[in-house]
Amino acid sequence: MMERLGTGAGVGLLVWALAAPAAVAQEGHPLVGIWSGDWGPTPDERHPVLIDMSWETTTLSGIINPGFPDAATIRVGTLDSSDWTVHLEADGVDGDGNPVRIVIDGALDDLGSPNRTLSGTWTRDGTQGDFALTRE
Amino acid sequence: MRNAAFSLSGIAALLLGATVSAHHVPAAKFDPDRAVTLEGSVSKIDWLNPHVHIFMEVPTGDGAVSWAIELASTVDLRRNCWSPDTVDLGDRITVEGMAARDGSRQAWANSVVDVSSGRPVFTVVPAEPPAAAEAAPPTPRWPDGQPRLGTPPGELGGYWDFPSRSTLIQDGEAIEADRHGILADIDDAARVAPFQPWARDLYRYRQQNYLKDDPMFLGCKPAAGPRVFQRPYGVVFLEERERERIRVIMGGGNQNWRFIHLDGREQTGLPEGTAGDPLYFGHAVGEWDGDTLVVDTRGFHDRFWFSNGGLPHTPQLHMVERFTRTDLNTLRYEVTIDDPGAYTQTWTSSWTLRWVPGEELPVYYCQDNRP
Repeated sequence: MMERLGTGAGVGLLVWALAAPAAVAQEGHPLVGIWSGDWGPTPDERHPVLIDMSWETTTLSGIINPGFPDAATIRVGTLDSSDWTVHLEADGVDGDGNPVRIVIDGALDDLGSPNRTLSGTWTRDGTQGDFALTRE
Repeated sequence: MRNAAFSLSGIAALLLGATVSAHHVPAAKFDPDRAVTLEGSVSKIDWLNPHVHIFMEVPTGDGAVSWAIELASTVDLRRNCWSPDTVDLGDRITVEGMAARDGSRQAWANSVVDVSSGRPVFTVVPAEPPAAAEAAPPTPRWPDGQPRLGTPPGELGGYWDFPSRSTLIQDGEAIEADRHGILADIDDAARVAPFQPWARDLYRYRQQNYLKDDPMFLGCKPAAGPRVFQRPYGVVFLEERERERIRVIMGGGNQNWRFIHLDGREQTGLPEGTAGDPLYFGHAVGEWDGDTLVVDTRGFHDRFWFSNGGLPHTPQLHMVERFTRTDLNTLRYEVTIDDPGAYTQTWTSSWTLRWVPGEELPVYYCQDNRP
């Protein structure tokens, strides 16, 4: 993503995160809130990521990198609370306007903390990597 | 001098290590399976809420080590007639208790004995409601006949306390929980409420971790929602009739208050909240239905636990409360929970509170927050 968005976009994501409402503890559904971190196919190639997730009644929704050209809307979101694993599928476009599918499989850790974490595998149009996010 | 420096540095280290855990259910910090017996001299008494600490020097083969001994709150200790003067610096005491889970030199005191006299000190017996006459006086009323939820005419003070239940459990289920809301049997968790799976499993997680992440304990956050009426430090209804509202003041914490508006205004609570809204307490409007005050509240956020014991909720929470003072001494409280984000159906829980006549709310400020 950094290649597509450039360094300025990475800084922009940071500014977006800082400009968002002050981070607060959130004690309801454990996926709700703003998550930030990165993903990448190798330890040396990392791409900043920000996800804003919501929960209403029985539906998990959200946007990956909201406000940016490569923003992707979460179409499928499930939480298996028996082991706190998460599956997300999102659709967006790349910098050239081509459709992109993102599939995320991860697990929540440090569940009771406001700064809980989510990590696992991240697949973007067939490119697989890992990711690590922290709830802000 | 060297010993004094050692002691002060030891105390500082203990305090520094302890502040990360703040107020808590004892078992969240201390391990009931790690019994400890200590004898030594009192070096400092930290008489602050939420937990009083005694620091003691315990002799070792070649010197002494500092231990921090944790006791109940100042409110509970004073109710049992203990004070900071109960022991003096230098007094020898014996402590039996349970050691900290993190291996630090901290212990929760199950008993403290003054060695010189052999007298148990700082013993806390759970507070009991005031003795009641066989037939309680009738419900006090305003001249227009409406029940008074606050202090009856002629009394100088009073508050509601001693809830008959310590946590939210749906009516019709017989489930045992301690005063913190921890279930006697974790396998009862699924019957506590009609949970969605994530809410049930989060509740189980909190229970199994002794409520260690409770934001009320960790950050002095308000005990909002129905939890207001299950905390151990009472609640007061100030009926501001000229303003057509009731101000409900909570004992404990930061002595927060919530308003119940009785002026017929529309319910304006929004799940997402609005700037400037308190939202820990939502937007509450009430009206009298005979002798029962019915209060409709929406507009909560989810930055707090709305029950002892850690039941989760979401910003979709809608609460209908019914308050009925059935006689002078008894307030029946019933709450209907409608939160489709966390529960599969609406559910109701009810309990009673007991009038404590002639007293002000116990002073318990979270600004004193210490480990």
